[in-house]
Amino acid sequence: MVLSTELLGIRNALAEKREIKAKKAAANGKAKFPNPAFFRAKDNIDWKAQGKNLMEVVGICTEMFKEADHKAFWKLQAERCKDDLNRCILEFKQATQMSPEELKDVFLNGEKTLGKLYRKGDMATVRREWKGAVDTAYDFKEWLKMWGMLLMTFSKDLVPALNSALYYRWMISYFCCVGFMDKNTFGQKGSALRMSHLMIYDIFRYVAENLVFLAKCDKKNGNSVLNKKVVLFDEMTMGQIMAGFPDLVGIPYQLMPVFLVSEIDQLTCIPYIDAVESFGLPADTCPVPSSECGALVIDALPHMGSCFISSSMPCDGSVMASEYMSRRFPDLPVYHLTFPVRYEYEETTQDAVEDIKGCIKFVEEITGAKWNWDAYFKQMKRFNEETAYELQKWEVNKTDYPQIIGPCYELFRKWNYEMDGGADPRTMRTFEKVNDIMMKAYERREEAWRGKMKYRGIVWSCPAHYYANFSNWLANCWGIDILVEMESLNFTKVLETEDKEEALMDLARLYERMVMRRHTNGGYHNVVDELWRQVEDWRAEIIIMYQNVACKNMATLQGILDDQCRDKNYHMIWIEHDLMDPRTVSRKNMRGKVNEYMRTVMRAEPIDPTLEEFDDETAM
Amino acid sequence: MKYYGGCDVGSTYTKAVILDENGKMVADTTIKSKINSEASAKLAMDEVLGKVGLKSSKELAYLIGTGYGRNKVPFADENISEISCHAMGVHVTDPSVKAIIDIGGQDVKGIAVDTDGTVKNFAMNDKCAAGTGRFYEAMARSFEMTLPEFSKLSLTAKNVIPITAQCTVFAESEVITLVGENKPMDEIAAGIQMAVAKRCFVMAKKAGATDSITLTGGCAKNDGLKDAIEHVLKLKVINLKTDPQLMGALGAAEFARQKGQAK
Repeated sequence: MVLSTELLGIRNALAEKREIKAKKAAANGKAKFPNPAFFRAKDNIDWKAQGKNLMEVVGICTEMFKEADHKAFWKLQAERCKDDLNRCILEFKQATQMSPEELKDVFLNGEKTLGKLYRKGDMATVRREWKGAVDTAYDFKEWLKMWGMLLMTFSKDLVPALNSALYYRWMISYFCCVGFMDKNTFGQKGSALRMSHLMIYDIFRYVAENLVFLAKCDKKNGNSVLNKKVVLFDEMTMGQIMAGFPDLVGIPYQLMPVFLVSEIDQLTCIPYIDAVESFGLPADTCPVPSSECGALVIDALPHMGSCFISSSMPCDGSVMASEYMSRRFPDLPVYHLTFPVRYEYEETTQDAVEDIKGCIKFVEEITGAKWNWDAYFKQMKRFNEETAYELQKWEVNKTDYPQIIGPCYELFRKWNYEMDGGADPRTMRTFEKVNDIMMKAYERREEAWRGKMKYRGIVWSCPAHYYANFSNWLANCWGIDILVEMESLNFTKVLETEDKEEALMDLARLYERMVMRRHTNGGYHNVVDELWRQVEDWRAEIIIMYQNVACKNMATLQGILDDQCRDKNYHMIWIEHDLMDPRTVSRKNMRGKVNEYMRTVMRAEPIDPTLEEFDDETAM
Repeated sequence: MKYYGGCDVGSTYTKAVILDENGKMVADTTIKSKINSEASAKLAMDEVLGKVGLKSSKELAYLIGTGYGRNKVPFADENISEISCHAMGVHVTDPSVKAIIDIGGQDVKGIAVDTDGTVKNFAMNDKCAAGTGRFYEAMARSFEMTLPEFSKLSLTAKNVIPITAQCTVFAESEVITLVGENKPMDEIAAGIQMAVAKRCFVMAKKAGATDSITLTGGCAKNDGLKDAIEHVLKLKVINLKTDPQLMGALGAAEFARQKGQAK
């Protein structure tokens, strides 16, 4: 299978457009986004409250120091040092026992077994992966670049950022985002590695800027001026509606404290879940709203914003979190978006449009800002262009030479569709660069995951947050390459950018087909029939079927999916998980399901046997 | 004569089988599992080796470990999952069987078998004790009976009192309540068998059972369950001519024979 001529045409047109844009940008000087003034503003910091908090933190640290078993601590450190030394000696010995050809291969192309990098009880790998001389150098450069960006962003507003870091424990987990970058690029080399780095950098730039923003807006830090310009969204609500309010900033409120951080560190949400369960919530509730509510219970969410847009998306779980939210912050006006469930019926679209109009009116009334059609159309034009790039990625991945696979791509797609939505012009540059690398790699017929491309796979249903890089393990261990996942297959129609009424209809259609909702709402055919259509389209042999044990929605279709899968002769591997709580189904258990299926039914041998059994219970 | 061994370390029972070069089962044993899987494996192997006059497992041409504690059989040449071993064990016993329900001590599995004895598909319930050997143990305990007595009792029932709870803990409470209400014991027992059969139905469907199945694992000896499965699944239950509890160990031994002879 090769790329269609139609798509090659799109590619050329995009390249031309890019050139014109580059010339224009050069002529006008480089535009900055977002408005840097936002990132420098700080006023009304409640220093007394901050001082009190600082004293409390010092008190906790002192208590921890006093109560710590120092003898056991230093004994463990000594053991770790000894273990590290032994590992270095062993690796040196192994290197000396290699033939010159083998040594050259490892030096140039990287190490072949990755399971040895995990150690029981550790939060990070024992060392970074050796990817081969060139790729390791590139990887290190990106590692430095990420640290540089983080430090630069935080140093712009160091005081509120430090205040918040001392107050919110989840913020500390973001210091591990370079580790997150490593685990998501594990085993990747060449073009695939470069594309992953470009995409993950954009996500973390967005995260870093918004973290600082959250810190500044938090009423504990007292930025009253800034707060008037902030509209909060629940984390499942898309931000595109804010395109029409260029003077306001829309923030997916729970994204940073709950949603994303649980992908960085698998253990982050446990205190939230425990807190809300001790508050009376049943233990079998979906961990996403549980964590969000728990975060409110232990005061882990900043008090900020002028109003809150909640939704019933993708399911009623969001409604539950909104109710806790209104109890915790009664001063925050809330607008609730409730789009029709059976969205495929076109007659329901008008209801969704009315809901959007109501939301716009609500924001206007609360903030005093006015909806700006020009700004909206400008952003949506950019979003359309990004969607065109996305479609090209899909076309490439449908061929015999898929190029863009792995968790970074999955995250980038979801982030771009759900959070960014054409808002940040810098993202366009990333799309362009990734597209260039992807197309060149495709033309060279490169193997995206060198030596690890045995099976074409597709993911259905929602993945576990605490194992965001599961697809990375699938490729590294068994050679199962995930070409696309259900949550990426959203609305791809070009959005209207001229007719206002039609534009609202398109915006409604877009929201109705948001991440996850696209295939969990709208009727049976969106889950079941659509799966078979996609499997055929992407020519997948293996379906990784996630099953969130706390969600009864997909469970109702399990028997039907099994029956039809058997008839169609595909391999479907059911992977149970508990979204944000690794205590219910651990990462090891998730891997065990695949190991069992691959060995028993596929009668396959792992590509990297060291990754079949390893301990990452505490690893981020 | 060369001998080949299979050792199935289950959560409740440990089974061991020895085959000769022609695949004939020359020795077998079933012992209650100890808390230490390695000790269970050693005990079972010592017993079965003694039956063929061997002193140590090193004298076997090939030995395969399987079951819940398969990683704790240090003297085995290889480990293979119990799903594959049950399929192979059943296949060598009766090649006509295409689907298996394996009810072990702490899980239930549905296995679809291919024409060569390999696994076509499987489904398992390993997160909950409902419908497992542990479930039966808890129910028999609340009846103050042994498992065979409990099974016999259920077959005498003319009616069935449905047990609504699937959870072992709640089901036990429900049974105690029903007994306290002086409901007929045989009808309650039949209700329990029906509840497990329904659980098996899900597994069998998931694995793709069509017209007939066979039962393996310790619970396969429960005639009341067989009866309930035939009633619920509307599938013929094929009786195996070899002890169904030995299927995992037998399959492991057969794999050992194939691998040993191919060496």
